[in-house]
Amino acid sequence: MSAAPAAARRSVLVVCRSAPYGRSRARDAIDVAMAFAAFDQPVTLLFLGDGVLALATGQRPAAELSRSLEKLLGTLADYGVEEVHADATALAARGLDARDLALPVRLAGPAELRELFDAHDRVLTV
Amino acid sequence: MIFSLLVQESAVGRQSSHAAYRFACALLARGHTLYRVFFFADGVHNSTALNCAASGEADLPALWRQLAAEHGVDLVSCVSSALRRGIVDEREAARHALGAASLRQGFELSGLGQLVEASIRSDRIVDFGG
Amino acid sequence: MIAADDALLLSGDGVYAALGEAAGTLHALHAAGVTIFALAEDCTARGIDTRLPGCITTVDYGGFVDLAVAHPRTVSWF
Repeated sequence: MSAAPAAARRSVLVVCRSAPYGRSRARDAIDVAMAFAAFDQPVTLLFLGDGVLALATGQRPAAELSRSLEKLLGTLADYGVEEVHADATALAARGLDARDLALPVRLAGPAELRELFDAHDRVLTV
Repeated sequence: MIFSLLVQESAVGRQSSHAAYRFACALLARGHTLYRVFFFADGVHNSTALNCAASGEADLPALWRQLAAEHGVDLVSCVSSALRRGIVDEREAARHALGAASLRQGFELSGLGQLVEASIRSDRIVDFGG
Repeated sequence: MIAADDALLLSGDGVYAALGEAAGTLHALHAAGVTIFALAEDCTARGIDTRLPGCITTVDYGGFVDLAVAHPRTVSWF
């Protein structure tokens, strides 16, 4: 099939609502975000609800279980995913703050979350 | 309008890919275009050739295949999701010496770039299951 | 995150939000200008089609498509 026009860009908000390791959804969300960035599409990765737990530092999964999500998060900027946001309320509800996170993220309150949704052409919940 | 769909759950044990199929049929009946259905994560199970649907239950892999044949819809399963789950085409089966292929005719394996391209080309992208 | 002029479609097991205490949230959203829909066949399958509050309009899959056409962004919440 033919390639998309080079100038075509549609911004996408990739939403992760799943905690890591019990299911692979958090890993999947990161893969999707990286794919959009690889094709030069403006992408924001947003962690909501239990998804904020994917951001916790100190992850040490057994090698057979999964590769470390924390290490993968550390490579996001290298792969062009520079906008990473997290629901501030969800973090607080889970006893986490910015010091507990594996990477710097923008903390979003309710109004800012709404702005994020409105600011993107596409929203994909993975 | 041009639609693409993202399907993320298996057809068995979960409802969302059935909802995706019903949505696909409805949008075509409304005269819209369905450009691509991209199967990701457990959604790739919708592309198996080796299922046996129980009597009285929808055979979703067959239904997707029929829909694509009738309406020219592109059915793509994410290759990395598929390989992990044993959904392989002839080429991947040979490459990994797996002994058999399992991808249903009418589907193709490709990367997440196809999801990106669908997002660019479509007016709407609706995701099912996550 | 949901705001006035948004449409909320309950589908799958999401239609159970129309029942009991959860319905209070729906009434509040409706009062705030959110239009609320439920997928008719999912309500019927679950035996709750006769138990829906008045703030909910049932639609079929054609109506679901029409909603996706009318609203530029679809946010799925599974």
